[in-house]
Amino acid sequence: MRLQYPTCKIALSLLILSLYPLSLTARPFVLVISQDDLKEGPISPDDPTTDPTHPDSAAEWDEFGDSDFHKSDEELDPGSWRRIFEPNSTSTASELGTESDALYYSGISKMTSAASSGDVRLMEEAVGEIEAAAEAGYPAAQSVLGFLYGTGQMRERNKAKAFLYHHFAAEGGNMQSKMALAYTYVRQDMFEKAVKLYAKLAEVAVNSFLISKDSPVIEPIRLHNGAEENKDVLRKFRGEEDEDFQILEYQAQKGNAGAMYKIGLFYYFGLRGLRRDHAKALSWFLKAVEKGEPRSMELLGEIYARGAGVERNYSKALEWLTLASKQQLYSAYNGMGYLYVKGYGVEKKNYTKAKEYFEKAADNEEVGGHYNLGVMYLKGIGVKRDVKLACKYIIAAANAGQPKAFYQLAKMFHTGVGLKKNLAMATALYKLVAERGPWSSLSRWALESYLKNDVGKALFLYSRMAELGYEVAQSNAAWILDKYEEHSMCMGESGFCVDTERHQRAHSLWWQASEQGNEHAALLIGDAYYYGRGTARDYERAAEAYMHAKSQSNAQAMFNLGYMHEHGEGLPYDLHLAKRYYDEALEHDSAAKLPVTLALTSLWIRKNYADSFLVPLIDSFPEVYPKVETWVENVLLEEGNATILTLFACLLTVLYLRERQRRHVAPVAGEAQPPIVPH
Amino acid sequence: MRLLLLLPLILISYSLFSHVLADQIFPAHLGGSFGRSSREPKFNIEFHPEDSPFHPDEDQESVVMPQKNGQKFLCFFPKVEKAKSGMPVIQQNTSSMIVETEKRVKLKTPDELLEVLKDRCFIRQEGWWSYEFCYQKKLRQLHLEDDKLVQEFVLGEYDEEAIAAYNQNRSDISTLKDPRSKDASQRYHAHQYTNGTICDLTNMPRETEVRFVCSEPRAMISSITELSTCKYALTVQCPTLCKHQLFQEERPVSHIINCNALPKDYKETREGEE
Repeated sequence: MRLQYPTCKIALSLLILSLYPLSLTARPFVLVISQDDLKEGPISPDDPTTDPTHPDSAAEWDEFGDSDFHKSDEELDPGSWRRIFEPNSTSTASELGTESDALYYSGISKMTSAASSGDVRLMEEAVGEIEAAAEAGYPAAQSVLGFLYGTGQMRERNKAKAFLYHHFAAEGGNMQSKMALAYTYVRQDMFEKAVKLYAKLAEVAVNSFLISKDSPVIEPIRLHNGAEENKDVLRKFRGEEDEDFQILEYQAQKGNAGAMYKIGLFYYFGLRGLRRDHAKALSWFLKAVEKGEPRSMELLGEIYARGAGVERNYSKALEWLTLASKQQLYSAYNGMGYLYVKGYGVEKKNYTKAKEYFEKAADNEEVGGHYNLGVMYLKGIGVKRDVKLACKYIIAAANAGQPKAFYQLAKMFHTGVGLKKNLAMATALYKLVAERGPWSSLSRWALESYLKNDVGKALFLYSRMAELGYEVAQSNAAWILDKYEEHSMCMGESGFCVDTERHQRAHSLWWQASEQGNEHAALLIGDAYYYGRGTARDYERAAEAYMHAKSQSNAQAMFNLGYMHEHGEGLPYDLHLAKRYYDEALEHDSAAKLPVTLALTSLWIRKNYADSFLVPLIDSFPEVYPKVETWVENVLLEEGNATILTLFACLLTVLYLRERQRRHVAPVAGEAQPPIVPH
Repeated sequence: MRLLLLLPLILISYSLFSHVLADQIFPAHLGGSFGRSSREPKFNIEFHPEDSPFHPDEDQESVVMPQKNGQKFLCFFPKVEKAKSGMPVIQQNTSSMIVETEKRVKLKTPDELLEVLKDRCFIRQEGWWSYEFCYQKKLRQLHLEDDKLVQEFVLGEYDEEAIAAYNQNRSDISTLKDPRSKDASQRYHAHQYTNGTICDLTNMPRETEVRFVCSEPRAMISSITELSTCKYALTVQCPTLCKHQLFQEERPVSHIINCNALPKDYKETREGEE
């Protein structure tokens, strides 16, 4: 008995710890590519892609694309709000020249502070400034207006206007509007248009990735787990206040090279809630390489190749990468190979050497090596073009989670080279890649704001991301609206959101999330209709929403459907179907054992004792049970209380047993009896 | 006695376990019974050069949109009827709509529009079972193994009388509530298929309501559900139904935003236009 509670805790913490490394790797994505997706047969002579003069041929398809590699994040994502949220980062200040720039940035900073404080007047001012900038043709301002009209913040909710503004902003080069437009097209199954936009966006995203290894995945974090805040995950993102980080810093200061590398890594990517700081990263890496830490050498090579916080210097980059590779760090070979392909930092391009290096990496299970080899075979760089082999390599890389491999696959699906043309698949893969572009910093800023209890700003940023199509942001924004209600600082069409606006917005966000595979979202929509939260109680709609969730294998939805069949709410009264749904719920989620057992018992009672008093008794449970449940949750399960209760129970047992022993011993004191073993 | 003390603790630990981090499984996107296509209107922008501009209606809203390079456009928004909730909703009673539309020439009933499905069969696989639907004939539930029929149930046969009886009480068109919004609903035309294999749970023959809805791009079975034990609902998508007035609401409307190129020296006039 006593052992149960601590083992629970140990099991729980082990579970959480084991899930942590998962969060660092790419989300497992199982690619289902069947044989018929692969294009059979030899490449015909009039295949446009083999013709070197044809625009689609290898040369133009330069994936080792260098055009955007030189650009900073600010250039890649014009009009990004980095200036407001990361004022320390080295951004080119020359942009502040024009009047529109000044108007735009002033508007954005006012808007974000208005979002935090809920100051309607300030927000109105901000929108005025943005409109002025938009009238001058500033694309980023037009994009923001598109956002405001699309969600109905400070302006009427008008999809036509939103579309128009986004269109013009996208034409003007604004990436975020392109994301918004592409997502709209996907939702409406307009794949030809969507795929074109996503292809460009993915290209930009890919060029911002690392050249030698995959960027540790900076995926947007989900704030909530079901209906509750995801406290364990959020605890890890406290940045510099996080205890673990402080321990790490201490170790690094003491000379632990591994710790130095880790800290450098955190600052370089802006992980764990820290602000991206290339200067700090550089200094930590330099310290680490003095101790001979190979991974830092590799990253130094990367830094010099990108010119991130230092002056770009390819020969130095090559030096560092070579040093790293000599220390058995095989992923560095990827970087070296890349430099040889482009001819940077070396006398001239050397494809054979590059291939050698990639093979070295691939032979040592470095996913990047597979990917790079795949690209070489795909384009016939330094080797004879072999699309089939290229496919094999790239698929292997994709299954290991390499985002650049997704990009190549998407391209193949898009153009129909090596794989059968499939625009839907291409769009989906491009979207995955595009969502890792520089605009994904929005999620970091939103999380930062949320952790500082600035819920309004977090909501604002997540709403923006939701517009761009990020499912996690959609569910985060919807969850904030539901959980915080008025405190979410939601901005409506004329000032603060009224209840209906808030519910409508949350509903639309949940629905979008459910379209993208979030089965919990459909469940919540069902709950809203079932309990009449924010909308009139409607059991039939609730049932339809639960059906939708059920088709995505949500066990709770199945349980609810069973319940509704049992009581004839919104669905016909049918005990057989109720039992079937309960069984299905248990099948899909073994944690449902207790509620399902109770439900099946109640079904059995209803069936066999239909006319007895038991039926109204169990009918009254729905009111009683949740109250008991919340009581149990809040009182009994509270850590302190549970421990006290357990101890109390043990004390009682011990006292009781002693009492029993005494009572047994006393009456037989006169007789000689063998000692009674208390059982 | 010890057991009695153990029991609440067991119950507590059960609930503890149910709070363990649930595995968030995000399966590949599945359709669901309402399909994926958003029902929101689609927009398309058409640009008109200076010499052949678009002529707007009287009260069409417009806005001046400048491009990055300085070129300005005057864009007109399509007129959309808005109800108070902000979504286009047809408030009229269905029956009055039918009366009005009957006055128009060349109107086809849903059954006539469905004639394109005649003699066609559709098949859909849902895990273990496959469902084969032959229009105006039979609906079967099959299990195939290596292309051989291993198990078969008939879920219903086309029953004209039942359909007539059903339509007597209701109009040709029934609606199904759509959870996407509190006003949205999906319209369908129903056929009754009865007299299937006897169901051992209810001791009655299986029956199915086949629902035809308007949806692109082609005719196919979109879902099958069990309404109550051995009573099924099969939804069939049929693009030809979209020609009917009342079903047209299902199809997302496509609006065109027209933009006229403005001369370089265009001065904004603040009256009448936003």
